[in-house]
Amino acid sequence: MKGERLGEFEELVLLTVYGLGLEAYGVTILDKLEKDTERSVSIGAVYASLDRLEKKGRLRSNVGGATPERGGRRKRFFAVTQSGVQMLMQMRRIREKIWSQLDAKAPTQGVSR
Amino acid sequence: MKSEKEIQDASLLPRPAKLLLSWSAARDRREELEGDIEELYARRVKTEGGQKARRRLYRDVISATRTLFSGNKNSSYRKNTTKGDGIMKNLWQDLRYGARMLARNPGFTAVAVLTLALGIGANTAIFSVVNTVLLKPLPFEEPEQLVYVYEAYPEQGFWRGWHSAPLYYDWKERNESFSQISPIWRRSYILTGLGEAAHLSATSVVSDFFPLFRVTPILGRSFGPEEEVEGKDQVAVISYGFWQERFGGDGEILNTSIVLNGTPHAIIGVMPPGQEFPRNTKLWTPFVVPDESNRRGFKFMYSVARLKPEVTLEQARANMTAVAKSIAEDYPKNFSKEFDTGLLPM
Repeated sequence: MKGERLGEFEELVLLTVYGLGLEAYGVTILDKLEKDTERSVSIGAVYASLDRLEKKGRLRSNVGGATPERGGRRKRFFAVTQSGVQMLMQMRRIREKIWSQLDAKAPTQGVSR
Repeated sequence: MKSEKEIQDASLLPRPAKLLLSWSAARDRREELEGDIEELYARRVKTEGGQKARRRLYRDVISATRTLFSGNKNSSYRKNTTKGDGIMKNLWQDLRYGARMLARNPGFTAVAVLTLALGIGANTAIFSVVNTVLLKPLPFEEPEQLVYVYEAYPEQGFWRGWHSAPLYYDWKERNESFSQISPIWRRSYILTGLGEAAHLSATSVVSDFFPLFRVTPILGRSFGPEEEVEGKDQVAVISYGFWQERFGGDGEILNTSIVLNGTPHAIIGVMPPGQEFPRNTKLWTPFVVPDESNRRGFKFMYSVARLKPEVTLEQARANMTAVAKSIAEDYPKNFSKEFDTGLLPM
């Protein structure tokens, strides 16, 4: 089913949320994504992905308590669900399998000139 | 624990950003959106400076809420605005589709916008010309009776010459065509004693001027023949615009004294709006027309007149040409044979 698969950016967001553990909310996710991917990311794209991932059941979110900073506004924290973790592991396995096959051959093979 | 009010006051977000968010973000997601965006903004103000941070802020706000425009109906962050059904819903969808297509094809959008801009601009320009030239009538009663009266030398193609004071008296006495005639002396006064000194565009006219245009003051009176006398002429009728701009429309303005070219003048009347004839006149003062028949070379005025109701422009022209001939015969030293009276409809 197409809706079950992840896009590249969604995968990165999911992985980032996983890496952030208990500290994953809008700002931290954006920061880490920008740092790790070395590109500028728009907050809107992050929200859109988080929302889709949650609807696909890979993420779960809940609103935290009031905060002393940011005008007292609460944060929505995200956490990866069991099915999300499985999906990440599966993606990793697939990639590693393909890379290991590649590494066994000559390093320049397959590069188009 | 902070109160709701204190929390709002502590917020850094500029008002337009908040408005945009509240307008487009889903109610239950607004708090976290605002919080995240404010946190980013507060940090950028420190690291990048206010201006750059503000630019990024609006980019964030738009990107965070653009699900409203760009289609993803299922987004939890999107305010549910398509509650309607039937025609309104279809219309809204069409509008959004149109906006998306325009956004996707900037070249086409530019051409469309340019076409509209040129079309609207050209129409506006043409309408303003047509409006002033053809549609807008003179703001006076029976304007077809109003004419300019000039000293003219038609054989030299010269129709709009200024004339002297004695010629005004000659015309006034000898014509059979005008119900009123008034000389116009465009002049400027230095206004002092009323805040900053100012240059005033003004006109001196005789008392027939106001009946000629059938204009009566909305406040006070216009001047009469008794004020066209040296020493009695220190009165002024002011325009509506001048009244508003200098006196704030003060209802107690009458008999206030203003100093024009160093001489105090009493304000005796205020004219209705839109009747500032000749153009840009701020005030009218009595014209004490010098009756010195030897000073026929001293030409500094033109005249306006209203034709008698039964007189057509052609009849008036014939009459005034005859009048000019008789004047030229009486003062051969001052007028050549070509001298004529130029009548031009207003």
